[in-house]
Amino acid sequence: MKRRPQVVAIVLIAAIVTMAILGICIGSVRISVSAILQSLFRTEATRTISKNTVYIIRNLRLPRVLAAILSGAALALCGLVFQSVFRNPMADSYILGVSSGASFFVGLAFVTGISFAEFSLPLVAFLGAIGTTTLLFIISRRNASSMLLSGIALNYLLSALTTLTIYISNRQAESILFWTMGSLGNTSWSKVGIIASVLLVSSLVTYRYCDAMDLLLMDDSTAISSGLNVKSTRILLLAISSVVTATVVCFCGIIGFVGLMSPHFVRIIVGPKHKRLLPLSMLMGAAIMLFSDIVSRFIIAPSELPIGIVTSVLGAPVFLVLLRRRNRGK
Amino acid sequence: MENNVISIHGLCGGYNEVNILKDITLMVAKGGFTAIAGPNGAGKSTLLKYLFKELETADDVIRIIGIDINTLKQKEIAKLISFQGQFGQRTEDFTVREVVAMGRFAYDGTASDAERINKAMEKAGILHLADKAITHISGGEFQLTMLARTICQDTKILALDEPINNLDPQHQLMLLDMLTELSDSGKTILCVLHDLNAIMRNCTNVVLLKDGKVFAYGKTKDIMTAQNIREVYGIDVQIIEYNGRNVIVM
Repeated sequence: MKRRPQVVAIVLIAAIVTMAILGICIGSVRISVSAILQSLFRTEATRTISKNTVYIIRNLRLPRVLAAILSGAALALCGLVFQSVFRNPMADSYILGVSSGASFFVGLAFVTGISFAEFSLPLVAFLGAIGTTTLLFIISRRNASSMLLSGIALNYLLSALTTLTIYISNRQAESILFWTMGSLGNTSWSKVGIIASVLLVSSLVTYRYCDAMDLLLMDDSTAISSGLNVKSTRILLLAISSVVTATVVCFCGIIGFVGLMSPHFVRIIVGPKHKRLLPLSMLMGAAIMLFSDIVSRFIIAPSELPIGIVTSVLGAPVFLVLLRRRNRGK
Repeated sequence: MENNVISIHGLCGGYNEVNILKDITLMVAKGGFTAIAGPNGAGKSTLLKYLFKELETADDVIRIIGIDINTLKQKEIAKLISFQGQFGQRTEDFTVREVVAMGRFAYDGTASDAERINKAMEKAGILHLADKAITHISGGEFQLTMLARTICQDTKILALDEPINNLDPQHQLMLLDMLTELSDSGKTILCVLHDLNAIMRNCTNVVLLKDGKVFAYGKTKDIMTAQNIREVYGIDVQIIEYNGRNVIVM
């Protein structure tokens, strides 16, 4: 009775479009909706809007809004994959320390001065993310129930190490701090392009594994005897979500709880089937991220809060409620 | 071409380098309802897990319809042998229909899926529960759901691990008779059972396991003797004839 995926999709898309327009409008320079339409669909600055406005829309606000949508969707995808692979609705790349792993490696790169070219950082972040995931996988292979705690422990360790890199490197401290709190402020079209292509490929591949992820939620014997190669599927899905996590962390820093919250909200509405859950979670992630971005720009305007703070403030209470519900269920 | 749908040659193994199974050699012919019985820890469940490669062994140890299981992909194995476990997990609120549909995973979605799924649910007597969440049905109903899932996987061999342990007497008999019916239609049934009288009533063959070895294997009436039961389970029983059927009295 509660499963109407089309309705949920329409509501989410409407919310995303509305918030995207709002996200372009508000800021230190107020922009009208008609100005947005004009700057998007006309090649030259018209009489009614200045070149300056066109520049703000095209090169600052639009990429930022797109980055919010894409990174939100990406984080939701990662969260969902982690939750299925580890068979735990409380898993996500932030809680399990995968994001911290990526940011620690980025911090390490800053301190040691290994890489500074814009696009070598994704590689460093990726190594950190995949390294953490592998470690987590090895630790919890024998005993899946220890996974969440192992991840939390890893998260502490890697966060501490990241802080250490900030402490050591006086000069780059701010740059590293940026990664630990998350920001959509430094978005460019090239970054949006990279996140979009990574997300496109990974979501298409993940969508093909929706039935497999359904089976992963059952016990291993059921999944294997149904014809699923559990081990290789888990490894593949973890590799995908590590790539996606790394991409988001690299361009937007650590943004917590979006990955945890989005699939869970959607699961309450449409149930656990991944064919519905995956696309809707990604829409939900995009909506939450857009909302958080607007809040982060609005709340202490004209300056802005790091978006990671906003998502965590919104997300932590939800996580606590989740935890209570889960314990009561036992 | 071998006559046996399952042949096991010298299988040793278990979990984490502890050998639960010690040199199991077993041939199961096509058709028939074979019980796997024995005391707790004898290796019954472990043995079944080798048959669909949840646990792996060396090449050429396990053959299904004459094919070395190690040369088959997981989906190919799933088209030959289905399995119903003893501990189905119910962490998510999938509907009964969604769980039954998982039995079609290996077939990558064929046109007749929906019909097969409905038929399987009907056979297991749970069609009326189709759209209920598995978290809101009883343990027995869930067991029947898992049975329907196994049936719609449509395999030559069905392996089941204690499928009647959560069921009321009526459903126990229903399930056992359904398995008999399936074996009559040419399927090979391998089923771990603890209820000795259920074995007497429905099974054509029995594998008695003790300490990871095959203690005895053959026709039910030859294997289920008071002496064998004493040696395997350590209990004294009497076998009496009642209404033309042998019944075990403890």
